[in-house]
Amino acid sequence: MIRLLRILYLNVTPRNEICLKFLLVKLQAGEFSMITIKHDGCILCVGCSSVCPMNAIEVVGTRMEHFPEKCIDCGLCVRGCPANVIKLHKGVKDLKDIPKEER
Amino acid sequence: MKYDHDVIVIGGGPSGSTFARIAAGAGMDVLIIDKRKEIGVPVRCGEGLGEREVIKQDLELPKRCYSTEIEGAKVVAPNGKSIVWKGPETTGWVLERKIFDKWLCELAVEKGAHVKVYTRAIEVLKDEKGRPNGVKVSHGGREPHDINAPLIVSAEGMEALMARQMGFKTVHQLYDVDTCYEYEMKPYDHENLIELYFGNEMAPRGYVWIFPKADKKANVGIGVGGNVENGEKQSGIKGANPKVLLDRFIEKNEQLKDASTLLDFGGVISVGAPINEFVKDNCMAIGTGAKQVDPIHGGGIALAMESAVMAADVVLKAHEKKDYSKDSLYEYEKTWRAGPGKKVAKRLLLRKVMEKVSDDDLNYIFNTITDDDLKQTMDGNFACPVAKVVAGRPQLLGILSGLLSK
Repeated sequence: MIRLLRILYLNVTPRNEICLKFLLVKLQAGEFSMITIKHDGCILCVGCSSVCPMNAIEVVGTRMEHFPEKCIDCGLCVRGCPANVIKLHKGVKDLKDIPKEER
Repeated sequence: MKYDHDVIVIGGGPSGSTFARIAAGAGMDVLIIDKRKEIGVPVRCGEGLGEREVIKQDLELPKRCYSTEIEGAKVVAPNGKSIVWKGPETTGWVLERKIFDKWLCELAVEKGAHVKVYTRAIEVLKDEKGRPNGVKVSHGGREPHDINAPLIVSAEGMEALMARQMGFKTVHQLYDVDTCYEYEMKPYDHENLIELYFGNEMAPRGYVWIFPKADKKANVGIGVGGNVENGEKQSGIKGANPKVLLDRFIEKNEQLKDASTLLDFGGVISVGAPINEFVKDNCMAIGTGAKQVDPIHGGGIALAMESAVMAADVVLKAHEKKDYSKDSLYEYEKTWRAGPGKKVAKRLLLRKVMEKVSDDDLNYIFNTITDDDLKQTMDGNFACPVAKVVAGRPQLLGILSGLLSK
């Protein structure tokens, strides 16, 4: 619920039609997801952040960092990743629910 | 207000360094900030560059900056038929981007620009009217501090996060990007030609490239349309998977089958239209960050350097008047749209038409046209090549007429 409010707050002025669309889908389904990045395979190409409509993923130091509070779980970064290391965990509300080797 | 610098350039790639070189050469106080630890690393590029832009800027590329010289391009159809195109437009180099970027940056430093690496811009600072007047930066993740300047130039490349904060619409749509994967391989015997392989099965809405390098090395890479849904990505989402397609290509290639991989990297390139505005009050966007990329081959170095020169000329005039408003900077956008912008628009049209053509039709087109037709097509004169193709295969008229309407 807190995440829902947060996302609503961040989306008061939707930045483009895509995020609005995904937000609506998410509100209807009422389900949430988590994004994880396997940093071993990441090639730091910033493909994910260049397609992210919410600036929810960016380079911090020498690795990509994902900010769940901005994320709308649209999955565009998963599709934009050439190295195929980003994973969308559907229906997971907490990072603790994901097995350690997949984080 | 007291400013620390005259202009802050975010990003030390080819566009940022070129801009800083010219601006600093004319006496401006320029600061380049780059988030990477070393300029030029990591490389995310196919490394090809035509020589025209470098010559235009009176630069002499030192031997260490490039790996090999290129004489022309070889374009290969899905059935293996190839067209070799040699001419002044296709001569150039396959660069060593690590050294090239650093060399360009060094030139800027020699002219008096300041460079800070490993310094990440976190936030664009704005005055009470919402105009940018500085950036908040963090050096190596340490305590952030503010740097002020009346003009902020975004030369950030693909992600362009600061440009987004300035209000530029730099978010890429999946339809307008190609996801790429590339290996540096050895040994590969080449004829100093750039090789481009087309085919919807091999590389949907993209192509495979082999860029020769010195000592029998070659950059072998693939670009696949970002919206293609032919592969399985993590978590069961369908999407383009360039690495798998590239591995498949290499398996089928006689020479590359047994070659070793020396470097393994990938990236995303923009193949869409440029952003709708390049300048705002007290800020501007240049290079790949402004999506100034060739939509056919995804090359951005030459366009980035070209736009940096245009931007720097306008900024120098604005600096004299101390007027960094949108109106005073707008001349840059006007020059760009009248010059390279027109070429890019034609290439974009060609890309959007070509992605509808099937493999069989592509074979036919390559059988029909000559290298001169190819040259004309790339120059934007579509009439003659299209007439040739449609004369033999009228059913293509429906698709190709899109090229003629404008």
